[in-house]
Amino acid sequence: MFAKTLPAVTEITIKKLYSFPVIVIQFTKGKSDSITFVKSFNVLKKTAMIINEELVKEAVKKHGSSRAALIPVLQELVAGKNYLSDLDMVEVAREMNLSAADVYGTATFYSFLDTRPRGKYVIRVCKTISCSMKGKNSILATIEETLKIKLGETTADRKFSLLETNCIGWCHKAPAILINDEPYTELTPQKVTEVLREYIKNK
Amino acid sequence: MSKIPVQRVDLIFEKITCKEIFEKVLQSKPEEIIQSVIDSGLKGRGGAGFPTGLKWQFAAREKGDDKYIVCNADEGEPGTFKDREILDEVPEKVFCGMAIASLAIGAKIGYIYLRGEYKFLVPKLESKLADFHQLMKDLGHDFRIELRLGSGAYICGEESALFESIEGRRGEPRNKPPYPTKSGLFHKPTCINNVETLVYAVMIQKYGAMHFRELGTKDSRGSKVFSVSGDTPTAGIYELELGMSVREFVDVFGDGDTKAVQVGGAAGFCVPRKRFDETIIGFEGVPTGGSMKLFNSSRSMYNVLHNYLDFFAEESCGQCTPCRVGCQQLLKGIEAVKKGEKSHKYLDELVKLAATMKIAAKCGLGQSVGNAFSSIVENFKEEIIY
Repeated sequence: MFAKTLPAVTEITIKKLYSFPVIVIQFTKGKSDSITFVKSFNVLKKTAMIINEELVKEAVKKHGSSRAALIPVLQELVAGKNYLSDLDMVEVAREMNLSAADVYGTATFYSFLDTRPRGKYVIRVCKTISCSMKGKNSILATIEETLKIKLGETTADRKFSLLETNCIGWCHKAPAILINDEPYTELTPQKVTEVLREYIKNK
Repeated sequence: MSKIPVQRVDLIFEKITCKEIFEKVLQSKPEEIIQSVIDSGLKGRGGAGFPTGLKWQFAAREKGDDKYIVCNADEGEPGTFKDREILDEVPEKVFCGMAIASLAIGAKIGYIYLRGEYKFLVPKLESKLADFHQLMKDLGHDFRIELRLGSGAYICGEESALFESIEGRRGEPRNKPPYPTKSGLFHKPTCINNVETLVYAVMIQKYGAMHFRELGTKDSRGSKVFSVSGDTPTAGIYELELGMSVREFVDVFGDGDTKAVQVGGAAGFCVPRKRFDETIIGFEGVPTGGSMKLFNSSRSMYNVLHNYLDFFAEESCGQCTPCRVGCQQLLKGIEAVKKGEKSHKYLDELVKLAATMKIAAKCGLGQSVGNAFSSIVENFKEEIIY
């Protein structure tokens, strides 16, 4: 399929390099094959579109194509990379017969359906009153210092994003954070540094 | 002064076998089940406090084959974390409650709308749901439950916004009437109940309506699970009889220096120390979905109010002007007074604005902002201004 849409390509595979996907495209070059990272933006864009199409089709197959399936589909696409790209939303609109504006309007209502690129791990620090009373600011400062990013930013290796969120339901064990879907509670600056070190080391 | 001291109750977390209870319930007629819930005096435990039996009765009386049971597990009110523990410890009781409701009103499908922040509970819930579905099959009751996840929007705890979200749209509340029992999920008759309410419905079937009715007061029958946090040495969840005074509550949970208790979360009321004795925690006084937050004398009530207003300004769905603009104006207003950019008389204007929002806002969020605002401004004016 790919060979028909892209010139002189024999194979496209997706490999993982430092935790984010890299497209490896194999060209025929004269008498021998060689592997090249594609430099042409158009080819890369088209490839990304094809891959997106497949992922979206799978999500729609799993959850259905009625309107009520929209949010489960978007949640499925977010689960892989923590945000929805423009391509994702356009493709969902196409598959589910909705306008892209409608999909965008629905997605942007929900803070966990992020439409800005995020890292592999999204850290959400609770800023509501109980956590605020129990030292959320020092937790936030510790994370900023450890990861060398400010609130709202993503690390250069695209591994961590730092955001604030509202009450996550752990007020008796404040301050608390979420890293992707996992809650971490009763935090101190030392504890949160240990948690981050685990993530940096192992994942 | 209330007559009920702080009494621990153990109905919610008591382990039961759904099979035993449901087999017994299957012998009853829907009207009998509904009557027992009405007789018990159970009111919604999510915060709004609508009589549960009446809700079931309205839904049962609607004609049509397509009816839904919805469990509101979008616990987002700041300071409330009791539904998380209920779903973690006794999820089978929640499913059982939904099954009993389905029998009472004639529904075949149920949804649990679980907030995205509790996604870590999904594997356990799905496993317990598999057991539940097997039980329903064994007992021959046509009812299945599906999970739907939220995605970080407090407003989706509002019943009609919740329906909009399940239907695949922005969580923007609808006009009411029509109410959910007439036109709810997919605009069909829907009975939507809080997690805790559904568990009490099960216990009422087990022990009978009178056992429940004997607890609490005549306006606040039964017991409730409270989420206690803030300046307290004993933060956590506690199931207590309804009807105690704030004084009695603070005597047990305070740290000896409590100057205010926020009852009902950001959408609730701030009770100052001088009103502890006269304020009852219950539907006849200050109702709550369970959130109880204690503040001692080291806390700035300006910071507390600012935190709540920031919360509402962010979580407002934005569709109606009184709430969308009102929340922002209240927030900017108290900042301006604090900085000295506006005189303290401006606070009176803001209190009027909050009162306007109470009547003009489309849903409970906009209507409730004024609760915390007025109660904190009136009782802690100096802290807001200086």
